[in-house]
Amino acid sequence: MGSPAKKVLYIDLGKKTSHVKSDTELQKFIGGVGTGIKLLADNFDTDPVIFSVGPLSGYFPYCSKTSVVTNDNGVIEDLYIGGSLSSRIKFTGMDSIVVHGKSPVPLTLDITDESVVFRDTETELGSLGLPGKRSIMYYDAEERSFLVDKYFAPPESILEKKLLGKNLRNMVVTGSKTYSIKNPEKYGEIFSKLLKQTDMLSVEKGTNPSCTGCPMGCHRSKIGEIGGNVLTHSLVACTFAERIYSDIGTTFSCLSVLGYDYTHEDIENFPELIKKVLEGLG
Amino acid sequence: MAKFLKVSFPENCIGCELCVAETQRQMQKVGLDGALIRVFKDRKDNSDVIVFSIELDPRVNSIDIEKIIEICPTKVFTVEDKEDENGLTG
Repeated sequence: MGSPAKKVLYIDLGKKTSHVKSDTELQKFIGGVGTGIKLLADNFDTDPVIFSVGPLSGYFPYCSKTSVVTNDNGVIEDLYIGGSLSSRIKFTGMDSIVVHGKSPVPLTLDITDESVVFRDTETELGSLGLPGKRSIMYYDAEERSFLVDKYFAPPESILEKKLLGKNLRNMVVTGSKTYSIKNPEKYGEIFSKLLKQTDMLSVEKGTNPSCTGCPMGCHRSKIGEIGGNVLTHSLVACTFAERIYSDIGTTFSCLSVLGYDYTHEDIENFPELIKKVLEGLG
Repeated sequence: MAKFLKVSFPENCIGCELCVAETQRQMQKVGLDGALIRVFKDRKDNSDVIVFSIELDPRVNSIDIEKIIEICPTKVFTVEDKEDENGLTG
């Protein structure tokens, strides 16, 4: 596979500690909602909020969302936020960020690659991270919502409730890693083909701020998504690109050119795998 | 006459960063470090309107700039003729 293990950044807000763990078991969960649900099952007692990207994030068009999985009073929720957050998480080298514990005072997380600095909320967010390589998620009291890139919001109020309950107010993520492409010619060919398939998207072109890697500028991505197709959301593609990424042949080609050795059966059986983990969560 | 890439219509930018990805892809990598184009976002005069600004590294003119123009969905860039040795880009 492209990577023998998923890399997970664990952040304990109560102890102000963090560590990175490589997890080979997570590889079969592909990414996004898949790894999020598995990590929730593995860390259920710590009441985590889990941010995840997928294997295609940062690489292919429309794979622009960040998956957030959490337990909301006994209901396992999967949310998706647009903007630049997913590409920045991808370029930290992490597949998931697991935030758990509760800070006694409001905090800002300043994440650069594997490094986490715990800052007070007085710190000017614009002074953190590297401009052009960072994504800023902050709580906007006027909008009563978290915002990514000053524009993209999560759906409903689940994330606000969970993160404010943990006293996490802001998160700045800077990704400075670059990845080489093993087969640039084939990769470029698939990229161009997918980018031209805008007629398969279920949104119209607009002039609104767009998520990273999406040419549409649609009006729908300002507010994120909740629930949906688990394969699309394991990648983590936009729900409006579901017709493209729910096609197993397309998904297989994208994964294969990046060096992942998932089989068609792995992908076909993936929804059942997720179902079993969810059943285990009760 | 040498050609150079110019940010002619920054007000059209929607922040998709496909131009950034294109420059990196031509250098056979994925990521943001060392990118020859950088896109910044901010709110206009503290309003709800998001505006984007684009910075070009002059070295961008050493790669295939036609492909950058082509990939931009809102036609932010143009190709200009370089008029003198010290012609500015961006």
